[in-house]
Amino acid sequence: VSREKGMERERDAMTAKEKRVKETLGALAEPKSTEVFRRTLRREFARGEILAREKKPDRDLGRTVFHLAFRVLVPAAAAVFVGIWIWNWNQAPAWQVTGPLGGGTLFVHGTPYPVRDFLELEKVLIPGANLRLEGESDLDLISEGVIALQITPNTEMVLPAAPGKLWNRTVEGRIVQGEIRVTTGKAFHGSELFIHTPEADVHLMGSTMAVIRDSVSTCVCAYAGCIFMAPSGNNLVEIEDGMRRFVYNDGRAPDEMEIDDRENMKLQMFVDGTAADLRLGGE
Amino acid sequence: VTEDKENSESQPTPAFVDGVEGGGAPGWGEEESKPLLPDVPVLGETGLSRKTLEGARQRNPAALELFFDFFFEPLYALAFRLTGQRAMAEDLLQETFLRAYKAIDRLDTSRDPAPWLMTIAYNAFRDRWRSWEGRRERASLSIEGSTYLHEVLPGGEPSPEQHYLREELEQLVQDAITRLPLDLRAVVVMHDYLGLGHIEIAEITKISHGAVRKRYSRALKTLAKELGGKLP
Repeated sequence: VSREKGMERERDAMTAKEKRVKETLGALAEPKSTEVFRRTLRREFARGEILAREKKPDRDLGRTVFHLAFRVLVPAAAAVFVGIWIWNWNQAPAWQVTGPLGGGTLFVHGTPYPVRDFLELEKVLIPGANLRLEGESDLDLISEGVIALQITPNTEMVLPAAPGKLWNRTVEGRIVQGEIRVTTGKAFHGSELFIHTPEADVHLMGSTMAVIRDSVSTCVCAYAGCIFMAPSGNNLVEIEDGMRRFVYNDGRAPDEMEIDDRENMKLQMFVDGTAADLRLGGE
Repeated sequence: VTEDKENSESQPTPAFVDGVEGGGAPGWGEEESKPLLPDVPVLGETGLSRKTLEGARQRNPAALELFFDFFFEPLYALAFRLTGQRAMAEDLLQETFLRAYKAIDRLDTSRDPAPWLMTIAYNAFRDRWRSWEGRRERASLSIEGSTYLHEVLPGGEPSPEQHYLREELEQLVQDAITRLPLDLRAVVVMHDYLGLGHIEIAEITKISHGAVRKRYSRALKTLAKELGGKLP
């Protein structure tokens, strides 16, 4: 009864044209199939022979290629493209050579390169490279906006990577002997740099320091920022701004004193010289 | 469930009556029944007995023949009205019975199998229409135009003029139906041509009752707009 009422309401809501269409549809003739088709299908259905009519999957090469291309390859290529883009985006700018003023030779994995040949140097200055600088001038490297390194003559070290934006934010380097100066830019924020020497670990979370390694000790000069140091494997101790801390390898206890004026001046010059490339202007 | 004795008697199938072929249970032919082939293609209630359905479920050839006979006409009518072309309707029907045969061992014999079969037919129609083959055939349909005219020949003895007018109207309406979007077409054909209710259509098409009503309303409005001034 409710169904009939529902249909009545439906009819009431219809326009005259719609009612006419509805009546016409209901009065359409019953189509007749051919007798041959009916008989054949009936027999096949009853005997199970109809299973032989099952269509096999389409093996058309063109369609297969089309489906492969648009359902698999294109999304895969897009995913790879996006992956590469994100990976590149995360990478800090590669090391660039901005100094020296004088001459000298940089040995990279034992191979000598003139320090004035910037283009050749930049090709081989990749993270993890073993470097040894000989000559009279400092070698200045910068990863633009992130971090700057100043390598002094007679330094032997392993080059650290510049930290990434999202991952690979903790990077490590090593000094065997000599001195480097490090200062960081805005993009370094939140990253960490570990410098290892034979007797000490140095941890930089930002700003400026010098690490000096000689035959009996490692000295860290904390110009400014968040800098920690400890004998290898021990708990790190923060070094106050303007102080330098020594860790010895001959059994003496670590000690701490003010940075000498000469090193302080060099660090000041280093910071001033790199401020523009590290986008520190206005700070 | 009603019985099917009369029909099985009017279309005797020796193996079925004997209950031998196919290993089905004996005695199906003794059931009381209504005519298996209704005059109008309404699928509200099946006239097949539960024993016949059980035999079909066990793929007994005689039971399958009765099953086929009962549903062939309405399914063909549905297929023809949905596709508008005999070749496509036959293709669709073949696919429907193939799918039904493969799944018939899961048939619920306690329920009317009509909605189940209609669902199979509707799904086959959607699959076919959306396939490349379906699109190609649809394109050819617009070229062939009136191919179905000769396939819908009403019974009776109309005059040649009445016959011509009838054919012209059929073609006009069928063309308008075939131009409807797939989902609207299915709903309006099931509702107004097969006489199914919205709830039954919702069950068949697996959409909500409200969605069926909306589709039906949109379909009818579209047809009224197209056919409005052309219907007698």
